[in-house]
Parts: sequence; C-alpha cells; structure tokens
Amino acid sequence: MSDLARMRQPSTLIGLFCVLGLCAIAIENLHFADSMLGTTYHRSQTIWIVVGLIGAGVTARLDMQFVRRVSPFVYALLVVLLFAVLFFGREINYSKRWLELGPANIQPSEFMKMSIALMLADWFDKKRSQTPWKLRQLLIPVLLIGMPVALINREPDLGTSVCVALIALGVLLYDGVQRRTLVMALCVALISVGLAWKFDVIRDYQKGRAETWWHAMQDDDKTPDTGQGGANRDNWQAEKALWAVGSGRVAGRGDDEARVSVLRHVPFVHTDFALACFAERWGLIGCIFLFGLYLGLVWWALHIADRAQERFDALLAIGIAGLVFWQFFINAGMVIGLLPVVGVTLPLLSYGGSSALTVLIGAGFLLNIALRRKAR
Amino acid sequence: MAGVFVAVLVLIARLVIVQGLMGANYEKIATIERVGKVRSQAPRGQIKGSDGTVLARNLESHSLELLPAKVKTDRVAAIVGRLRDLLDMTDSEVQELRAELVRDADPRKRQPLVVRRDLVSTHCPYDSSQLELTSEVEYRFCPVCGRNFEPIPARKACPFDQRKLQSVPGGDGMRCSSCEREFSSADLCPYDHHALHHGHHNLKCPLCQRTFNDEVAVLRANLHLLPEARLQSEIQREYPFRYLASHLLGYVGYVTDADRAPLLPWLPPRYALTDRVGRTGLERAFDQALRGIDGEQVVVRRSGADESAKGMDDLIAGLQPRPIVPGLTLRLTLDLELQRVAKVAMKDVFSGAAVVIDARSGEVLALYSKPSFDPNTMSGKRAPHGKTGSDTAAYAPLLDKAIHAFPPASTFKIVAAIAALEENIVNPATTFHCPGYYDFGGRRFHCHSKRGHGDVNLREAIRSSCDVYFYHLGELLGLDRLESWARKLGYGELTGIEIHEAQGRLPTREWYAQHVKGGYYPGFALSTAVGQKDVTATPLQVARVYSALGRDGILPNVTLVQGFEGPDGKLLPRLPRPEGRDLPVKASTLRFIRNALLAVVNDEGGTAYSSQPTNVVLAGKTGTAQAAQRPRPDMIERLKADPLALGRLTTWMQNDHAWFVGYAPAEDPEITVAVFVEHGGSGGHNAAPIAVKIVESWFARHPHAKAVDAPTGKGRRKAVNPEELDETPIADPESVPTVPPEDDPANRPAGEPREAPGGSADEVLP
Repeated sequence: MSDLARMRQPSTLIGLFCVLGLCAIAIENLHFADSMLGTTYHRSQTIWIVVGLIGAGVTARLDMQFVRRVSPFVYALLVVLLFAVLFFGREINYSKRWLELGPANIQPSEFMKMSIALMLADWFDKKRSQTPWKLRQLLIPVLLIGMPVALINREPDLGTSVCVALIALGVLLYDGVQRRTLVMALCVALISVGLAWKFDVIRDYQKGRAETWWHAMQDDDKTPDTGQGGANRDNWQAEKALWAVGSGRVAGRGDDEARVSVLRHVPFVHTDFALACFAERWGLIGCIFLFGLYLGLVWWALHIADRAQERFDALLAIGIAGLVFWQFFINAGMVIGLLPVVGVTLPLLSYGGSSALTVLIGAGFLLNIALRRKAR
Repeated sequence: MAGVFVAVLVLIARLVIVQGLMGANYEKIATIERVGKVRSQAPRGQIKGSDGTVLARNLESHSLELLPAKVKTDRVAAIVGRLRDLLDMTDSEVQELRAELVRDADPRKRQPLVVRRDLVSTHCPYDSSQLELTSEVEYRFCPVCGRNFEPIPARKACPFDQRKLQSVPGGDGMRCSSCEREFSSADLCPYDHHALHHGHHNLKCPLCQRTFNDEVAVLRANLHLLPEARLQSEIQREYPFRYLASHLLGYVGYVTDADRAPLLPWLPPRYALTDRVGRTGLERAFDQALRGIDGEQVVVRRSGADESAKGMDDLIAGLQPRPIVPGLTLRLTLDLELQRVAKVAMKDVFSGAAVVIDARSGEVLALYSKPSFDPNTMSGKRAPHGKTGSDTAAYAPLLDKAIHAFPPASTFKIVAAIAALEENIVNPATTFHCPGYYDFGGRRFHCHSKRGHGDVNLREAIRSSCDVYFYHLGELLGLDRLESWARKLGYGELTGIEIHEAQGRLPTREWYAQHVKGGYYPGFALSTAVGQKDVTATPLQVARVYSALGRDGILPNVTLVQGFEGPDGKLLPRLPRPEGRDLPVKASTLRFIRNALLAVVNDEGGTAYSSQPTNVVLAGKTGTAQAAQRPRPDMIERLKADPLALGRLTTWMQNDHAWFVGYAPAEDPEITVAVFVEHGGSGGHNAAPIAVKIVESWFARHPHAKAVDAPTGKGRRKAVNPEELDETPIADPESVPTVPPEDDPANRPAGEPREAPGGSADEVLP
C-alpha cells in the first residue's frame, strides 16, 4: 500500500482534519485578539505554524531508528537548556521560561514535553518486561522525569512541570505498572504535595491561586462580589475570564460586541486565556466544536497507539496523546473555572512558537507511525 | 480513551453551565463590568457657640498631587517648570520637588506626591472668608523667599490696619508689623535682592483685603498639560476663629493604625484609612456623635457596548445604597463675645487662663488658655504664610491651663476658714497676732506682709490674705482635716466638664509618706492651709467652688455643651444633667465667707481693692503662688540659639503665679470668674484687673437689676498703698521653689522622690 493510500485511511484523515482545523482556528482567533490588543501575534504564529507543518512533514518521513538514536542527545541538550534558562533566561511576567536565540524566544520546557515522551517510549521499549513494572525497576525513568520537572518548576512554571509529569505518567500507566507500585507512587505524590505546601516549596502565588480556585468552587454560581475586595489578582483574572466565557452564551457574540466587552480586561487573551476569547465569540456551539477537534486529535493518537505494531510506536503515540490532552484539559479547565490558574498553554490556540512546533512535530510522529503501519 | 472522553464531557458540562445556564447572568455582569459599593464619608458635625456662631465647620480643600509612577525621567524638568509658573513656587520648593521626583525608588510602590495642599479657591487662607472676584490686581512675588509685595502706599501706613509701616533693614522695602504685609516699589526683593516675579491676582478677600489667584481654576485649566498630576479634594476641618477657643474645641487628625484596630480581632477596622478623628478637646470627647455614619453608594461602571443591558436594574436593585447620616451639630454654652473679651483682657500676659462659668448652672461661658494655637494647622491645614511663628513652646501653647492643675495659693484659704468654723476651732471673733512671720517646728513661715498685719480676726485675715492667721488654722486643723474639707468643698474632684481635665491634688499624710522623701512633716499642713506646697487645683475647679460659695452652697456641675442640634437647628432634648450637690456647710459659715470675700474687693485693705468693676459689685479672692523656678534643661537647649528669648523665659519664670477668683454680683452671683496668670506676679495686681475687665464686659451686656451705676462711695483708688495690698509670697522662707507648674504635679508618676524642704537645715531659725 502506498503512502498516499494510507493517508486516505479515515482515522488519518480525521487526525489531519483536526490538526489543520486547530491551526486555522488558532490563526483566526489570534487575528481577532490582535485587532483588540493592537498587536501582530497572528503573523508570527502563522510563520510558526507553517514551519511546524513543514516540520511535521519531515518528521513523518523520518526513520524511527534514527529518531531513537538521536533522542537521548536531544533530551540532554534540552536539560542543559533548562539549566541555561534558569541563569540566562528572559524574564516575562516574573518567570524565566524563555531563551533568546536570535529573533525568536525559545521555550525549552515545551520541547521537553515531546522529548520526555520519546525518551520514555525508547526506554520502556528497550527494557521490555512481561510482568507489570515494579517500583525499583522504575528508578531510571523516574530520574528521567524528575530532572526536567524539577528544573521547570524552578523557573517557576508549575503548570508545565505538572504537564510533563502527567505525560510521563500516561506512558508509564500504559506500559503497565504493578498496582502496588501505583498506589505507593500516588501516596508519595500526595505526601510530597503536602510537604511542599507546608515547607514553602510551592510559591505563595501558586498557593494563592489554588486557594482562590478552591473558594471560587465553593460559591461558584453566585453573583461575583465585585466590591472593593477584588484585590486578589488571580481571582480577578479567573473571574474576568469566566465572565467572558459566560457572555458568549450558546451562540456567541459578534466580534464588534466582544471587542469592547469584558474581554478587554481578561489578561493574556493571546496566550493562556485564548480560549476565553474563542468562547465569547463562538459560544457553546463553537466550544463544543473546538473540544471535538481536540478530542479527535487525542482519539487519533490513542487509535494509533492501539493499532501500532511496535511497542515504541504505541508508547510514543500515548505520550503525544497525553501531551495534547493534558494541556488542553488543564488550560480549558482553568479558563472555565474548574481548575486553578496555572501557566499552561492551549495546544496550537495559544500564541507561542515552541508550543505550536512541539504539537505539530507530535502530529508528524503520529503520521509517521500511521504511514508505516501495515493495513489490516 | 473512555477516560479522555469523560474528561471532555466534564468540560462540556461545565461549559453548558457557564454559557448555557448562567450565560445571561454573566453577560449582564460582563456588561456592567463592575458593580461596587463605595463608602461616602459623612460630613462631620459643626460646633457652634451659644449664639449659633460656627466655631468648627467643614470646608472643601484641594490639593495637587503628582503620581510618581507616571512621571518619566525626561519629563521632570518640564513638570517642575510648569508647576513653578502655575503655583508661584519658591526656589526651595522647586528644588525639593525635583529631588523628590528623581529620587531613586520603585515608582510603582510610591505614594502620590503632594505638591501643594489647601490650594486657594473660594476661601481666604488667612481668615476663611469667601473670596470675591475683583479686577486683575498686579502683584509681585519673590521666588526665593516667597513673599508677596504690594506697592508702598503714599502715607506709609498699612492700607489695611493703618499702622505705620516699618522699613526693612538692608532694603528699600517696608512691612506692617501687625498684619505682616510686605511692601516694596522696587523690582528687586528687599530681603534677598532677587528679581521679583510679576503676575495678576483676580480674587480678593473682603475681610483682610489680600488678593489671591484662583489656584484651583488655574490648575484645572492647565491639567491637560500635566498628565502626571491630579487634583484631589477632601473635606477639611476648619476653625474660623483660629486661636480664640482652640483648647476647648481641640482638633482632628488622621487615623493611625492604632485607631483603626478593631475592638475585637474579627471585627472590621473602626475607621477607614482616610478618616480623621478628634484628637483633643470637644472634637475628641464628642467624636462619635460629630462623626455621623458613613453612607454607601452603589457604583456601576459599564463597559462601552451595552448601555441598556436588559435586567441590569434587577441586578443593581439588589445592592441597596446606605444613606449618609451626617454628624450632629454641637451647641456650646460658650459666649463667644466673652471669650473674645477674655482673650483681649489677657493680651499682656505670657501664659495663663481665664474661666467664666454661670454661677447657677455651671455652664462655661468662657474658657481661654494662653498662649493658644491654631487648630487649623494642627488639623493638617497649610499655614497661610509659610512662617512657623515665634517659639512659644516655652509657654506650653498646647496645654489647656484652664483645666490644668496649679497651686491655688491664697484662693485655697477659704478651705481652712470654712473647716475651722465648721469644726468650731475658731469663731469669727477669734484673733491671732501676725508679726509677719510664724515659727513652727524649727522653721520660720513668713507672711506676705513683712511688717505683719497685727491682731487680725478671720474676716480681716481673708480680706488682707494674712498668711500667719492661716498658719495657725493649719496647725490647729492638721493636714488630714484640711484635705477632707477641701474634698467636701469640691477640690480634688472632676468638675464634670466634657473635655479631659486634670483632677488636682489634695495631699494627705499617706500621700506624703509615699511620694516625698522624708515623709510627712507637720509644717506641710501650714503650707497647705495657704494653698502652697503640693496642693493643686485647676482654675475651673476653683471657679466652681467659688460659685458654690456665692450661691448658697450648691456646687454646680460644669458643662460646656447645651446639646445637639437637630436638622431644623433646634436643640434636641438632652439627658437631664445631674443636679449640683449641696456643700455640707452651715448657712452662717457661708454668709460669713461671702462677707469676707466681698471685703477683699470692696474694703479698704482688701487685696483686690484696686480692682473694682464699675457696673457691678464683685466679690472674690486673690492668690499669689510662689512658683519661681528655672527653665527645664530641654528648654534651655532649645533656646540656646536665642539668648534673648532664653533670658526672657528665665526672668518670667522667676515670677509668682497670680490668681483671682470672684463672682458677681456679690449679693446674687450670676457669673464666676477665675483668672490664673502663670508667673504673672501678684494676684491683686496682675490677675484681678483681668477678671474685672471680663466682669465689666459681661454686665455691660447683661445689666443687673441691682447694678451699681457709678463707683461706690467707698473712695475708690484712694491712697492705697500697693505694697500693703500686694501679696508677696508666703509659705517657706527664702523662696524654696514650690510646685513647678510645667511639672504638672497631679500627673507626676507616683513614687518619684520629691524635695522635702521641711527637712533641710537652711530653714532653721536663727
């Protein structure tokens, strides 16, 4: 079967439709945000997406063996870059996440999401075992995960580090872990979160956000108290975003209306709160469509993992599914007031070259796997 | 996959809630965008005199602020230059402002910078009268010293008060020493020879005739050129009579963190950050009533699009505004005219107090303490002329001497007299011989008359204030009986006045045992009988006691307040005041004392014989407290740079305290006057004339039925030898300094050792 014929498989078509649809929506949505903010983000995002699509094409044709050989070096390079970010990083909004490389700002933590999936898939494939993984067997992957998570958390970027951890957890679970191991890992995680809270490893603003979210969940649907107490900035961000989402109602608002609405006061409408912008404009219907696109993309990845003939491919596809899903879920949950505010981007929709590039290269890997697979 | 599906379903379910079900609500909110409650401050109640004259009110005041966060470095020069032109800033002000602006600090964290407070707009900064528009008047302004100059008038007399102008040393300018106007015809400042800045004024004060520029209007017109600046307005407390009644009115100040702290930790703060609270005087005593209750306004800020969002009114309707309850207006018993008379009568003394109370009701008619202060500046108002004034701190301007305790001197002798009569120790006919001194316990106690009064009975002893007679009484009565009788008469207790007053002190044996090194010594009773040593009383207390003596022994409760005014200006009903209490004194004793007090003023040989009002019969008692002392070390330190002032202070402090307390008309008292002149000299010469002026003024306005129109036929001012009348200090020989008034004996911490003159050897008889 030729490559082209494989491309015509319904699952691949669905996947590609979702990716391209998200790219289109991303540019359109950014264009609107630009018209409101007076910026030109949609242009550079278009360039990044084009670069990303070319990258996806290249990735789709790559030899997986080559990728597996190279991935440790990429991982090592990214860890070094994460160190470099801590020292030479550019600080935006009180957080050092970016490296200035020529004309572009690179965010190594975004690439790390992809790299960790590759590394884990590679490791689990090589050390295959028939029985579920025991805790002591997992020392190496835990180290592999722990280092970037710790580094990203230092930036500080709680959202991305949680994301990386969740992606890795997905891969781990898919490969099968002993139940006892899982329970123990969960306990350790819970205790460490508790300790981190207690001993101020978690920063005050992060605590504040979590508390804000908790309180907001308590008395959620009351009329927000907008008296003089609204000093809490995070509360303010989340509240404004929620108003914007709610104002979209079922059918969405016209652009002219949305442009002068509360959306003006939603911070980061071009990045973290891009969904608020989309939701106000397209309403419930638009949001369900958008969520459908993400769901389709995730489904495609899981479908590929299901059908993959090699263990490495399956694990990689799971990692990519996690990459898209967790970012989408955390970001959407944050914008619509289900989760606390953390700095996680919405895949493709949020402005950011590194993020877009990572997702598109992920899509390229998926395509790669899909094209190599023998039709049944 | 199923998990992912469920997760997305959860998200969509949430979206359905937010956008579908709650969407209308959020849309409304997003349209209104901001609905909030804003506190609106209740206006503070006014304080009015008995005739309705406003003594404390509220005026809007404007200030110009710069926002450091907005000031860019390259704009500093332009901002400063423009402000200098608009506001007539002096060079030093300009430099200060520039330094503030370029100060290296995080601009985000800086408070707004107040460039100038109390901008001139509608009211004169000197006397608060409403300014009037006038045709443009040229003025000249020195940008170095900040003075304004008017052209020298033809007659070289101040065009306002007609005083002769004095020329300025070292220049060709002139100035009026009274109203402090500056005049110059040259184009250079006569003080620093700097070129004057010309401008035009278009406002004039109808009262003081000064001209001003409407700074607020000028700034409003130019504010678009200064995006970094903003005009702030606030309500300022304003005391139009400034120095006249400052002590009893008190002043207000911004709240401190301590004020704001709630009574219980979980309660909200008691005041808002911008609140002011009464700090002293009536402002403090009636703070809660004057303050009123702040209101709450609902403020809705809409974002541009939907001015007419449906259902918005329902949302706003849920937020009920709370109306402002303005502070109550306080009506005082104070007679402003009498207060002014008291102030003028005391114009020649450095420091002291005059109290006038209604002898029947105890209502305070005048309560003046000198030196006074301007409660406007204490409340945060800019002094209209940038000068700080002469250093009057040596005379304790903030201390209300009318309710501060001082040794009452001979005015206290009536205590010993009444005690001795009531205890049947003496009768009115009992005589003692006064050779000019009294030897007791190895010490010689002098009488103020060196030659002595000869054989005197009690009436004559009171009339001529014979100390020796009262030394006898002190010895016979003992300290504790003196103390208990003084307490019965109303000394040592609060008078009931609403403002914070001193209680005074009546020493007992126990008190001496606790507070004085060497403990009690029987001679102390002698000193106490003549009101010296450690006994203290406030002028108000003394006035109250003498009211009781004049009015058949009923001790009135003192009050300053008639009551609160309702919205219609009528007095609200008030809780009944407690009745005055009856003195446990026989009527015959009171009659005798009244007779003796009448003799003090009206009999030849009375200590106040030279001070008789022309229109009424006055009865009273003089007092001269020996109080020579040296300036406190910190005062010496402060005045080191000004030896003249220090010398003046030192000389002043060598003088005795002068007292006069009396009531008039003598047969049926209406008013009681107490005058205390700190280091003023003698009671008969320095305090009584002040009281006479006050009494004369009162009865000129309130003619008494039995008033004497002409001088009585008692031969006024007939060959009175001042030396005989003059009470020279009494008590311990060789002028052992007694209670220093600044040292506030009533408030002295317990246990502090005091000098015990009784034990020292230099007082031993020769």
